[in-house]
Amino acid sequence: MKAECIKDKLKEAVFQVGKISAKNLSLPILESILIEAKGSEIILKATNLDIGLEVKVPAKVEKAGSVAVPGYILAGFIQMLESDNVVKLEAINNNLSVSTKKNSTLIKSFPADEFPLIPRVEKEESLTVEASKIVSGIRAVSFAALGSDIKPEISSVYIYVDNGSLYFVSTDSSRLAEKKFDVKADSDFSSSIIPIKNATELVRIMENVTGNVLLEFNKNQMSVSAPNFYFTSRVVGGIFPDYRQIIPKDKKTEVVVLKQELVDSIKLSSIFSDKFNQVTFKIIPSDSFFEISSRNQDKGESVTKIEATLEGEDIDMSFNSRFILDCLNSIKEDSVSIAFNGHQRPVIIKGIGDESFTYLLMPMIK
Amino acid sequence: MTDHKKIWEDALLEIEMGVSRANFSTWFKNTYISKQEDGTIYINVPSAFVKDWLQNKYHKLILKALRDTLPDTRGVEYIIQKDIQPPKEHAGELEQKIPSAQLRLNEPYVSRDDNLNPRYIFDGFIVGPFNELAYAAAQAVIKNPGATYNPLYIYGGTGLGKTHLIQAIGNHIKKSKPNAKVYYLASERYVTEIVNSITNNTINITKEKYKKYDALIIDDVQFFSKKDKVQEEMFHLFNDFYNNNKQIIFSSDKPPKYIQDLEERLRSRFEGGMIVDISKPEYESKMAILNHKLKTLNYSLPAEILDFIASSVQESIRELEGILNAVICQSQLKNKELTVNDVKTLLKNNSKQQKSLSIKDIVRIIAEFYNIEEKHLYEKTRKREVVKPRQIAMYILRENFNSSYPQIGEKLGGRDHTTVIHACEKIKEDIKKSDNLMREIEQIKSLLFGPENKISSSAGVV
Repeated sequence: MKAECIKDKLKEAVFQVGKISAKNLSLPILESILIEAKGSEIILKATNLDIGLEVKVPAKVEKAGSVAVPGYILAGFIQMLESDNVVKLEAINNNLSVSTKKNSTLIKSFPADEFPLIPRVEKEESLTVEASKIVSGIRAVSFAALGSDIKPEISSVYIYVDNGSLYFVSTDSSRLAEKKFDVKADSDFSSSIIPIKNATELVRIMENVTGNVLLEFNKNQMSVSAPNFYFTSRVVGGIFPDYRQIIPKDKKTEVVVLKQELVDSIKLSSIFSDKFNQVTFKIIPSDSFFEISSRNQDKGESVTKIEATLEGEDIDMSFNSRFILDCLNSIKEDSVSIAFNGHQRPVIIKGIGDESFTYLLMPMIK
Repeated sequence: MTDHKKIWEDALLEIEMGVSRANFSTWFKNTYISKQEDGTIYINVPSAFVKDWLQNKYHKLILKALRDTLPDTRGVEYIIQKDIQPPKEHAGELEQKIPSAQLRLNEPYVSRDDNLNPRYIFDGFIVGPFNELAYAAAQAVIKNPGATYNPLYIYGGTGLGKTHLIQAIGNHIKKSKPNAKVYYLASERYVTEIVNSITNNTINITKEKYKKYDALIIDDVQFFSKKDKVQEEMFHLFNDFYNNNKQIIFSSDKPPKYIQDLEERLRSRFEGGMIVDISKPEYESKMAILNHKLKTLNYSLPAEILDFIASSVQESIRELEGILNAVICQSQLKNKELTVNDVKTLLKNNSKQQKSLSIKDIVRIIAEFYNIEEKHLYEKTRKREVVKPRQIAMYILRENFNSSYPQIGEKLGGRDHTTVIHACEKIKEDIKKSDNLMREIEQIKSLLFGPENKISSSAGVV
């Protein structure tokens, strides 16, 4: 293998794929990045056997070929390269030589043919969508996914298309976040469940991608591809809960409040909340009374009154402050609506004027 | 049947010699042979990565290794089988972060296709002496649905885990045979459906609907009692399943014999496969259940409280869980650990008061049961038809009410305590010999303690 490419592009690509290749004691080859030169490009590949990633870098290829080198060494080295703009990569006696005008380095390599193949999705369903929608969709809901992996089907982001809308959903069974976008309906895609870790990796990789990407799915694997990269992840088997049944259709009490004021009050109250982050909402619409309070036996207590538009029945319920603050990050609007549905029943939080994001939260036992 | 596991183990031994240890453990972990057809062997692998790798790198090696044991092997296919073993061991620590005071969404986890609740799996199923037979039967059914025990009939009191067990069978069949259509339904729902389809004249549609399933699980079949048309439909459906070797599983609160007004042909069919019962859990099993439950809730309680709950809750596992939840909830509310005394008060509020029965009541019920005059039991008469009921009365007073021998003797017409001892011993012996007697005593007990046969040694005599 012998090729030349632009340093900054290579650096970015190495950085991208380097995150995937992780320390793996049982199979050291997984720590490596596979560099493949062919045609007019270099392809960098990495995998942890859960996710596979390929990034293409335009290059002048003199001799095609491939070599696998430890990711952290290559990344560390390229990061320190200053000034020079062109990097030469060459395989010499199965090792990789990286040279610029000033430096020349020889990196010990792994046998390239031991590097795992990155599977292609034998397509069953596909969807073309703007990269930005995927990024913001996953971002908007991923915080609500279950952190542990006892229930893989909800330690995930559930993606589905229904009635011309693309939905992203996550839940940890005490709360649920849903984000939807309109998409062109001519897609045969129905639904897929992507492990939360892999979904957040995907967001990281696609952060700076513009334009459309192609998503392909089958029942075992999904992939996202764009001209310069290919990402694949396993998908979760199992059934995502049929959550639509539990979203309350009507409301008994509604609060409309400025988002910033709500955030500040909850943050303040959470200083004095107990170990479960419990804050209490007390609402009496007839008296225009809305107050958030918290109490901690060791630290003290706090009460904050909030200006808000109130309607409906009285409410006295407790919530995990962290769970409320989490969702407010995903709401861009200035004011939010909190719809209560009776005592100890789920609450719906939305941005005013934005129907695309819905957050469902269960209260706590006081 | 060829033993797939054995073949694959032999092949793996061979393969292991040809590849490095690291490669072997990465690529061959969680692989197994799922089926064998016309010389082609199907190997299940956990992911697409493994599939591609085995196909491209180790295909020849695998083929060669398999041919050593099975010379007529022509090809190997790889199938991706997802989530073979969901990780569960370290999950406990991670869960800790979620405060338990947080309410959960009402999980609508029931899948619409099969009506099964995925929460019911064998992982959370505690096996003890009280249900091990049922569990073993369930395992046999899973291994060979439709063939080993068809139908499987599980009966036992309320809240002892019947539904859990039969749904777990369904979920397992679904998992191991993704193409099999399993359907769970409560008998009550079947009844409504049949009734509706009769009024709407759509009975044929309903019939066809059920015939398409590969395994059918029907809960609480005792409700079929007295519903003739439903029984008839059930009979036809049963025959269809049975003749096509499709698995049927029933649960009920009593054995088929005791379901009233059940048509003879249906009863004999219920009895045609395997009938197993789930009885009440004994102390150790109750402790195991409590500990398991605590682990999933991520909560801990002092051993003496668990011991107290396990020894005082007699009825059912459901009640056991209810009490445990109440205890956890209380201790979170009060923000302190409860003492055994606190739990005692709680139990008093939560559990049903024991019916208090006087010796007179007991004697009266027994006399009525045997259709003799109550006063004869107190008299000195030694007629056979009186002696037996009298002895049974003594036995029940002793066994179920912990009365002392002299006390029993005195109340039943001033008899000596040795007479009572003799009576108890005799009945004990006779029960062993005669099923009839045992059934009689069971029936008396159910008259005494209500329909569900609630026997409690802690009940006292007023």
